[in-house]
Amino acid sequence: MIGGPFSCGLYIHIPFCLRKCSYCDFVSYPVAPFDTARYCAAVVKEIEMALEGDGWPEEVASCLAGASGSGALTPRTAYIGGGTPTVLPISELEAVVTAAIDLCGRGAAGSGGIFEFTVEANPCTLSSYKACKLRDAGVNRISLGLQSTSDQYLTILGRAHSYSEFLAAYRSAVSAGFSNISVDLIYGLPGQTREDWRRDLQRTADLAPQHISCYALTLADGTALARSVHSGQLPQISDDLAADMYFDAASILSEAGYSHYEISNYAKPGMECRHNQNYWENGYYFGIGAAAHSHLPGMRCENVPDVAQYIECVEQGRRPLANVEWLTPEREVSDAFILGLRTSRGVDTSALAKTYGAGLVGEYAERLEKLRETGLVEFDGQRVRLTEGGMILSNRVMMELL
Amino acid sequence: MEGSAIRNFCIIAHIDHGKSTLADRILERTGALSEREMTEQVLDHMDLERERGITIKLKAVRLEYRSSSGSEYVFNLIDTPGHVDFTYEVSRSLAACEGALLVVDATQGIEAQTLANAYMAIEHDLTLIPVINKIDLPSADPQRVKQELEDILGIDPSEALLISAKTGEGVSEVLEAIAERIPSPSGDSRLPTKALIFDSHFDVYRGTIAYIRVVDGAIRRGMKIRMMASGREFEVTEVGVFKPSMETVDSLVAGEVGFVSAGMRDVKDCQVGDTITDAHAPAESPLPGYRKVKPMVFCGLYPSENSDYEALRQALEKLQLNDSALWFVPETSAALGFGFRCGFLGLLHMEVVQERLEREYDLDIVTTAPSVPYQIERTDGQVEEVDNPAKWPNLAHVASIKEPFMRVSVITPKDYVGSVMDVFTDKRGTYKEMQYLNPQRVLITYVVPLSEILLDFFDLIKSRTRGYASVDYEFDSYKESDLVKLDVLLNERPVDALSCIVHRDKAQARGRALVNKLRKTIPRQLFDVPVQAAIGSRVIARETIKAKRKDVLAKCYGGDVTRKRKLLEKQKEGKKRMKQLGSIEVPQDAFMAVLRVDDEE
Repeated sequence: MIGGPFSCGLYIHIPFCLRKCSYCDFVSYPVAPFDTARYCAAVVKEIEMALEGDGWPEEVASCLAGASGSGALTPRTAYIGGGTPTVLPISELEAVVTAAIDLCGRGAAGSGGIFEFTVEANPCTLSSYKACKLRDAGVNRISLGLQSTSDQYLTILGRAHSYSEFLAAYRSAVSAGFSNISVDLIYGLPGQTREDWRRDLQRTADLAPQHISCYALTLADGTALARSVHSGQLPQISDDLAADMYFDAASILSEAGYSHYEISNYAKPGMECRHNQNYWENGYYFGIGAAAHSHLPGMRCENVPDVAQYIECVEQGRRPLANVEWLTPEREVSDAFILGLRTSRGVDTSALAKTYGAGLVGEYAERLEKLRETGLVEFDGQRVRLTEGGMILSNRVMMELL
Repeated sequence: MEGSAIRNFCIIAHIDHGKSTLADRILERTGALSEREMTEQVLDHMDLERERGITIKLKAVRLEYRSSSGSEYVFNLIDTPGHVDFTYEVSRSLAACEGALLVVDATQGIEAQTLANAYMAIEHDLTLIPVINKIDLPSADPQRVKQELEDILGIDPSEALLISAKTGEGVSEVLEAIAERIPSPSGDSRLPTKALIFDSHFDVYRGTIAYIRVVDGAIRRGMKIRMMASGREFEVTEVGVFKPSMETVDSLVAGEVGFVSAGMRDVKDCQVGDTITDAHAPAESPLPGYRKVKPMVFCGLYPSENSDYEALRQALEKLQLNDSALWFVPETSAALGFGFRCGFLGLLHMEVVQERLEREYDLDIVTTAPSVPYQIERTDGQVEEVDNPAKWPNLAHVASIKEPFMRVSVITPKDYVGSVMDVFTDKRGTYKEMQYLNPQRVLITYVVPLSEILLDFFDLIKSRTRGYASVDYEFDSYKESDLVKLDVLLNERPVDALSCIVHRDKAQARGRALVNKLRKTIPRQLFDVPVQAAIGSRVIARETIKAKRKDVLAKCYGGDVTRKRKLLEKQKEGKKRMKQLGSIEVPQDAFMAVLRVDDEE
């Protein structure tokens, strides 16, 4: 049974990029050798398969909007991410958007169907023409990867664009009529000073997008950037400086009218990303495309990462799963805590108790009480949330809630 | 067996001079083992021994030998521990022999333990057969080694045998020399029984098995025996010899070497060095030389998980069955909870026990830094021994404090004499003597507090002499020292397990080094943690572990949930391996930081 707090999302992964950024450890491939049209056709087919319930366990099938299903798993938000979705020829991307809207319906926030549809874009791949076509197809939110306003750091990050190219792309999105634009920034870059970062924040706030994400750089093993830092070619990154930068973001952006609604996310009032909020509410979602992950009643699963293998599976009418993890109610509660605590709203323990049982949730009471003593957590008996200082030390809290 | 055909001998050598390889060759040549049966160096039983290339428990093997003249002999090869911690066991096995092969590496010459072992053999009136090994190596210089043997030990160079245990060259001559030069045992089987226990091991089915040398009289199956030191009596269930596997015989008579099992369930029933006699016709006096082995190095052993306390106790009990030198009593630490105070013969012995606990018993343990037993005389004249810094008394009632000193010999190339003496000076050593073994090599002797040796003495000597020096030491005496207890406070609270005893003159430097080391070892916590070193209420050094300010997974969206969860789980695992001291998480190796402070300087 699907309880009240859940909505459902649709995530579509486009694992292609012009080139790989130096810090990226996501599943993405240089676009050149791939038959992207065939990939997009497979994506459309997988959306159909997923929503029709082919091959899902009974618990999932009964929640789908089919002849006998409850319709509780009808996606209300969609997000095309990557990779760089906008490296696709616009006709292919359009076809994916259209298919998703056709299959899920389209609606306002209060009614059925998709009401928030985001596409991720990188500056060099978003022309005015593409922006307008996406808008026409039904996309109403654009997420632009800026990362830094300094070309020096964009080079270190291996980004294909300059700051001025970003500005051009941003203007394209605005003039195409997008009124919900998100901009991504990264801080804690090798050599970056607080002044550099505060300038990034100020410039971005001056641009006044509806939404800003500020990510602390994570040096992932195996990335080019990690190698450069470990070999000493680039300076080490200080945690203390990154912590200062975190608080810089919190103060500069709140000054500019953004609310800090998740560890790394800021939004103008009412412009929080609904799709992502669903993840943090431990909601359900279908992950479509190579390497995409889904969370459905009782399970989390993961598609094969290899593009050719993915296409082959879907074309043969098979579900392209690489891995399925069955979830116990205990695990769901734990996930609900560690995801929900990422947000400023926190976790509603009584709602959680209603969904999963008071017994399971009650087991956390003692730990939460202890965590409150650290000052990282606030707890009013019903809602538990991280403090502003707790967010940047959130691992310390989440570790205790596994 | 005719006593005149028996040869009881052992092999003594500095570490790595080829003792075990020669033993293997002797076993092979006398047919005790076919080459096929030989795993290399059979005499080293435990894995740990093989890995570390050291012999911890001695063993005895009975070999049959037909000499070139056609006479039949029985050789009893008694293997001795090769490490300085086990001096007493070495002395007992030497006491079971009439002769010793003194093996010296032809490329290295006499080293510190060559001397220590040779002197001990001479003290026991053993016939020495000098064996110069590794003559197949290009850098071998047997002439020089002969000269050293003559100059330092007064050994006639013409007696030296030149061999290569590796290739087998000269091994036949060694066997002939054993037969010809080592005297047969002189005991009398008609006298009241006296047998020396020179080792023991625990067998789950038979109980403690004593390794014995019968000096006078005989030991037979069914006989009632008495342990002369403990007074305990047992009935002999089995008598036998090692060939090298155990074979039972009806009796062992004067001059013979073998084993006795007599339903002894407790290792304390059968102490190395004790004399076995006939309970019905006891000898008047025991064989000389028995003493209770006394641990000289102590540390606290605590289970990482409190729930493993019982498992740790059982493991220690099992180890003790085979290791009478291991001593332990329960102790409680405010910081570490319930654990044990353990006593060892020396540092190596301690490391071996720790490793066996972790490897063979799969226990995760926290070890506190080792300390030595201090003799504390109170103003009322009472003397007590303190082996744990946490039990250090209030100095107001103390008349004097003594600590154990060791007589340490270092043999070094002459170029490093200055460096070696600097190390001794730094370690509060007192100069005793210096002797040129030859124009190139020098024997330096100092008396040094054992507590200083525990720190990093061996590493220092090794690094300052580029590994060319060898070290040996033995207990010298207890001497008075000006010692103070150095306490460590984390977040203003003393941590008993981190306290250590230091010389007053060194307290300042050690305190500073210690807090500095701890600052680097203890991870940043959620708040600033002051680390202080104090003598009494006086803080002599202070550092601060700055609060951790960032510990976050920046991105977590739909595709990341499982992956991010795993990262958190891994981080939690790391945290679990830490000890919780109040609200501070301390990694286990911080408790050894006291030992390693000098790395940093």
